[in-house]
Order: sequence, then C-alpha cells, then structure tokens
Amino acid sequence: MASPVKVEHINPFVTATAETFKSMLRATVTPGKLMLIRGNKLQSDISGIIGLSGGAQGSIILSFPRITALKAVSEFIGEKVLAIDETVKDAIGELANIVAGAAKKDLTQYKISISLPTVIIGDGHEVQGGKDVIPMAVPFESPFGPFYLIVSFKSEA
Amino acid sequence: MPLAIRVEHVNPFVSSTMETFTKMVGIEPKPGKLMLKKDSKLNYDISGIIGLSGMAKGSVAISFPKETAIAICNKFMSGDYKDLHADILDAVGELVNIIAGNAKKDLTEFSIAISLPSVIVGANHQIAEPKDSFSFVVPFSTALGGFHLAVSLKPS
Repeated sequence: MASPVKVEHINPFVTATAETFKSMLRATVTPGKLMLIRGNKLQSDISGIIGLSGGAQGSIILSFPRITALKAVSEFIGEKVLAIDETVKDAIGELANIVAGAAKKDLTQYKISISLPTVIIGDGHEVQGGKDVIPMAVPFESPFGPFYLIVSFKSEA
Repeated sequence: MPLAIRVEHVNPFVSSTMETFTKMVGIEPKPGKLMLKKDSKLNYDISGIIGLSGMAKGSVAISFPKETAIAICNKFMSGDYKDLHADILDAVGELVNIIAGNAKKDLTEFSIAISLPSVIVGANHQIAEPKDSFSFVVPFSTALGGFHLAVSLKPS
C-alpha cells in the first residue's frame, strides 16, 4: 500500500517555490495546508511537470488556473501576455524547472537529476500520481492568484 | 560532447510499447507513422507521463481518449470499470512506467533514469513538447481503440 509523501521531502520544494517567485517574479507567495490530491478535485488549466530521478524518484508539478498563469508569466517575461501561447508554455515549464533545480540543493543526499519540463494545457485538467506513492499538494496564494505545487517523492532508502 | 539524438532513439520506446501491450495487456498494437510533435496539435482525455534524465533528458507519455483508456486498462487489470476510476488512472501510470523502464535498457549509451509517473485527466488536454527537444509522436491502433506515444529527448 502506498504511503503519502513525507513532509521533509515536500518542504524543499515549498521553499524553492517561494524563492523562485521571489527572485524571478518579485512576488511573495504563501503556502497553505498540505492536502491529498486524490478526492480533492484540484483542477487547473496549465501545469508544468518535472520528473525526478536518481537516489529518489518523483515528480513535481506547478499547476495554475489560466488567469494566474497569464499574470505570473507576464511578470516573469516583463511583457503582458493575454492568452496561453508558446511563450506561456515555455515560461511555465521554465518555472517548474527552476523550482526543481533550486530544491535539489536541500536534497543533495539523493543525488537527484531532473527531466525536461512537460507542460500540459487543458481547461480544468487534474493531475494524479502513480500507485507507488501518494502525491501531496500544497496550495499557494500569490499576487497573481492561486496555484498548486504537487509533489511525488519516493526514496530508495 | 553531448550525444546526438536521432529518430532511431524513439525505436526502443516503440518496441517497448508493443511488447508491454502484447504481454501485459494482451492486445497487439499496430504502430502508425511517426510524426514530429510540433506538427501535431493533439488532444487527449488521459495521459501518463514519465520524466527521463541522464545523458539525455526528456519525457515519455502515453495518451488516450477516455473510452480507450477504460477499455485497455480494464483488460490490463481484468477490471470492469465504466469511468475514469482511480484504478484506471493508476493503471495508465503503471503502463507508462513499464514502457519507460523497458525502453531505457535499450538506450544504455544515455544512462537514462526514470521519474515517477504523473497521470493527467482532463477532456481535450494537450501536451506541449519541451523547448529545444526532439519530440515525436507515434500513433498506435488496437482492437480496443487508438492511443499515442510521445517521446521527447534532448542531449544533456
């Protein structure tokens, strides 16, 4: 039976998300209470996914409502974007990439390597994990609107 | 010097998909013509995605229309689900996990490691190819409906 991701494996990604929004988007974001994604109907319109492998396996996902994504990307690239286009997809993938890269420094014992970002576009899509581990979601409030960080993480040790 | 990515690097994923469906699901999928991801704006209802890292980075995804996913996963698990139950989602994650796990054995020159699967559910979602990567889509047809395999790779 799969168990939920451990809090100590989630925290580095929460910190990295806050740091990334601070440095890249000049925004203070506030994490809310950890929640299960299963059964909670966490719907988003655009998600950036990064796979994690090495001494641990996992994935992290930044999942946004359309409005939050457009406002956040406008700040990120310094140019107003009004629709989800190539620029927005690349920027969301890049944000997920920066968050995963930044979190690695607090998880050095796992020698994590990260995949290329995959970006999903679809009104109201939901993201779930596989059956090895129960992913956890962290809801964030930001000046651009709400978004979620979803973490799956399983260490071999 | 980074290793070059070529079209034939998609082949292990194609053979692994055929083998996985034949052995684990019990249906023989027929691969169609490989397409460049860029040229194909494709919509799906459910996708299983695995990240790849190592000397090449990327991702592999299998994507289905809803009815096909239910039919194929029911056969895979000997289930009788009528909708996208959590067990169907798990099965999609498990299938892409097996496909990626087998394919990496034929790509030893890239020392690929795989991530945990993520499963996307959402009517008509699209998967964007990662920037600057080689991204291919292979359509498969089966007795239970069609699905797509998408592979993106980039030397690292």
